[in-house]
Order: sequence, then C-alpha cells, then structure tokens
Amino acid sequence: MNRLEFMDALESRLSRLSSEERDDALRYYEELFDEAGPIEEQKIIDDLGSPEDIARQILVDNGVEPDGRPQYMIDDVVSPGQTPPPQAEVIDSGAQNAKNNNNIVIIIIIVVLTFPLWVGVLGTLFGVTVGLIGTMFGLTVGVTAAGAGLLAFGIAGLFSVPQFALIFIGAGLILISIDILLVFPLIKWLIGLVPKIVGTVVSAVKKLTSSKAQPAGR
Amino acid sequence: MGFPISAALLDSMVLAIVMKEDTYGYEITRNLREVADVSESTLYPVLRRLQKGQLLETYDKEYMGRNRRYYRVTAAGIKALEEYRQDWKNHKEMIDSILET
Repeated sequence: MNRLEFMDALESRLSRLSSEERDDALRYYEELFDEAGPIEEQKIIDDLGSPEDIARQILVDNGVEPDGRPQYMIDDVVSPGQTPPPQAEVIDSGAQNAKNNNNIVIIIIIVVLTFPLWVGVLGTLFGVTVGLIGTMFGLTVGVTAAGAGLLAFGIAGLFSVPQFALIFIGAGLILISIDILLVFPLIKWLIGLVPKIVGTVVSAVKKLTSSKAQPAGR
Repeated sequence: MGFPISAALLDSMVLAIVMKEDTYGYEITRNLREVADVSESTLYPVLRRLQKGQLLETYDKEYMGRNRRYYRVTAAGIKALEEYRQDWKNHKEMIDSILET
C-alpha cells in the first residue's frame, strides 16, 4: 500500500462523518506524510496500522457506529503496545455476542409489534414533508405572480394614474423582494433537506438489516 | 515496560509538550515516542479530543510551500495541565509509598 491508496482507503471509510470531521482527519494524515517525506513513507504506513482500524477509531470517537466492534475506546486505557491483549478480546466478545443476540431478538419483536404505529408515523412524516414542500411551492408561485402582476399593472398605469400606479409598483417590488429574501432560501433549504432525510432513512434501514444478518452469519 | 498509558496521561503529556512551545502533530508524536510506544494514529484522537474540549487550539503556518497545523494551549488548557500535574504528583507519591523501600 502506498500513500495514495492509504488516503483513499481512509477517506472512503470516513464517508459517514461530517465533512468537517473528515477533512480534519484526512488533513492530519496528509500532513504526517508531508512531514515524514517520501523516503519514510512506507515506514509511516507500517507504523500507522490499517486505515480500517484508524477509521473505525475515528468513527467511534464521533459517535458513529462502525461495522463491527471497535478495537478500543479512546477513553479506555491505551496500552503502549497500541492494541489490547488479544486473549481479553476473545473472552469478551463471546459474552458480548450472547448479549447482542438477545438484544436483536427483542428489537425484532418490538419492530413487529409496533408495525402499525411506525408505518403511521413514517406516513405522517412523509405527508408533512410533501405538504410543506407543496405549500412553499404554492407560496412562491403565488407571491411571484402577485408581485409581477402588481408591478406590470403599476407600470401600465404609470402615465394615466401615476399616484396609484406608484403604490402598485411599490407593492409589487415588496412582494418580489420577500420572494428573494425569504422564500427562495427557504425552498433551497428544503430541497437540501431531502437528501439528508433520505440518507438518514437509508442508513437506519442498513443498520437494521445488518444487525439482523449478523446472527445468521455466525 | 508493562505499564499502560491512560487517556488522561496522554492528554496531560500532549498538553505539556505543546505548553513548552507551539508545535505540530508529527513533532508531538516524536516527543511522545521518546518515552512511550505511541503511533501517529494514537495521537490523532487525543489531539482532536483536546481541541474539542477547547484545551488546545490550532493555527496554520506556512512551511516549505505548504501549511503546517500548529497547536497552542488555551487558557483552559493551562488550567487543565496544572490540575493534571497536581493529580499526577499525588498519584506518583501514593504509588511510590508502596513501591519504594
């Protein structure tokens, strides 16, 4: 593995982090390679350990659950040998497995029992989101049309009845400015929200399916 | 040498190193390496945690055409380091009271 492969592997495994956290971590490792220089590159990579382990640690520190168990928690004792004694790990993971299996059964029962409830909740959430987006869309179209109409009307009457025409032009401009100041950013924000919601749902489903698949695989 | 280094001990050592002089990640590891077998990947979580706890702050300084990230101890960091030093002193004396003959 070379520097590029190392950084690529690390980056892809940190994709679930916020961009700020990810950039900070990647930057730290880039700088490390820069400091060490190309001659030391291989030595650094050997010292660092696998990008998978590094990414796992960073994910755990950020409260993102990686796939599988972390090697150690940062708040636990960090031994000078960097990794905990393997025999402790084995004893520990047996007990952990039994506990995990129990938990999974309980989770599945809860999910099945509450099926009508969460379908309702999901449906409501979906409905509210669609409704909100629809409302915003309607509002923009309405406000834009009203503003443009008033503006056009005012300009048309500018020479025949200037005293009223100016009021129309003013009102039209106010509406259009409301559009630009409030409604457009709001819509942009809402549209930006969609991938986030989808991402959350997808990762939740993934988590659920992967924790179900685990006992079958063992 | 079979004594593990706790997270708190790592925190206090990093604070103490940066306290002497503002410095950057690679240099901090090199300093730590003189007394303990810590890798660069052990240091990153420590630095990040100290940063989030606002005991350390960073700034960039140009070095050979690229930016180097320097660390500096904050006022809160100075206070934390003082406490760490006191705690360590008490801890050491207690252990010594048994170990030393």
